[in-house]
Amino acid sequence: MGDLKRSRKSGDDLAVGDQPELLRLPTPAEALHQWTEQDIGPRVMIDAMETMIQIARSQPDFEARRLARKTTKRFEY
Amino acid sequence: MPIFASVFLALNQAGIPFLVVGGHAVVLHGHLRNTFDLDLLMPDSKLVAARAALVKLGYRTYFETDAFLQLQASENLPPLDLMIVDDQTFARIEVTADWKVLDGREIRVPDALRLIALKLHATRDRARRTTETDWQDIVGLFKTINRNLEDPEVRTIISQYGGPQALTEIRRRLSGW
Repeated sequence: MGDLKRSRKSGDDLAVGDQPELLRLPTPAEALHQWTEQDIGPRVMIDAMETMIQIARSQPDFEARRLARKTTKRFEY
Repeated sequence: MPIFASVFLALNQAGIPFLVVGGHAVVLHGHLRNTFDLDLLMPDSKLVAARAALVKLGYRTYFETDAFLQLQASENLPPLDLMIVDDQTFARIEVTADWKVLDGREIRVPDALRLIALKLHATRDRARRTTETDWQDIVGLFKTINRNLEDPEVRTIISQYGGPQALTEIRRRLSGW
């Protein structure tokens, strides 16, 4: 990203304006995925996921939903 | 707020070889996406010892087959799944594995092509609710490693683990990326 002027112009309160050392959040016009690839690395992503895990696991059917996404068939190489 | 390190430490202390697979391995290869689970690949011969170490840590079994173990635990441990393979398969994947850092600890992940093989394998399980994430991972990994789809090794992996339609699907998705 890097188009902070556009962010302020669009009224996006999440943009950080003149504080480039802070994490820059996406403007509404930018795809989140593109933003993550450009502005954060794997370590930040994993830290964020750890926080999300703690929230998601409070759902009562959390484990059943996890299982539905999994393959249980044996892999051979 | 590291929650994975305790799992790695317990397995290392018990002498259990493992590879991190699944979403975290995909992220560590550079294709960023979210995931809630920690998925580990492990050889058959170490399953009993691994289960003992993980139960001691606080895990209990939620679901299991001869190839898969889903574990659940308290909030200070990650949701954990074990993918069990025969010892020969583990050795063949381990030999080309890459070292990465997760939660401040050095761990190994399959190299991108072996990870793609695992993902292709998962797309062929018709019992699963959706395979869309796997396809996104496969295409994301190909973008990351920039391997030519005409490379003989790549073609072999795709056809062997993804089936006859996989190459067409990967090409279609890469063209629209």
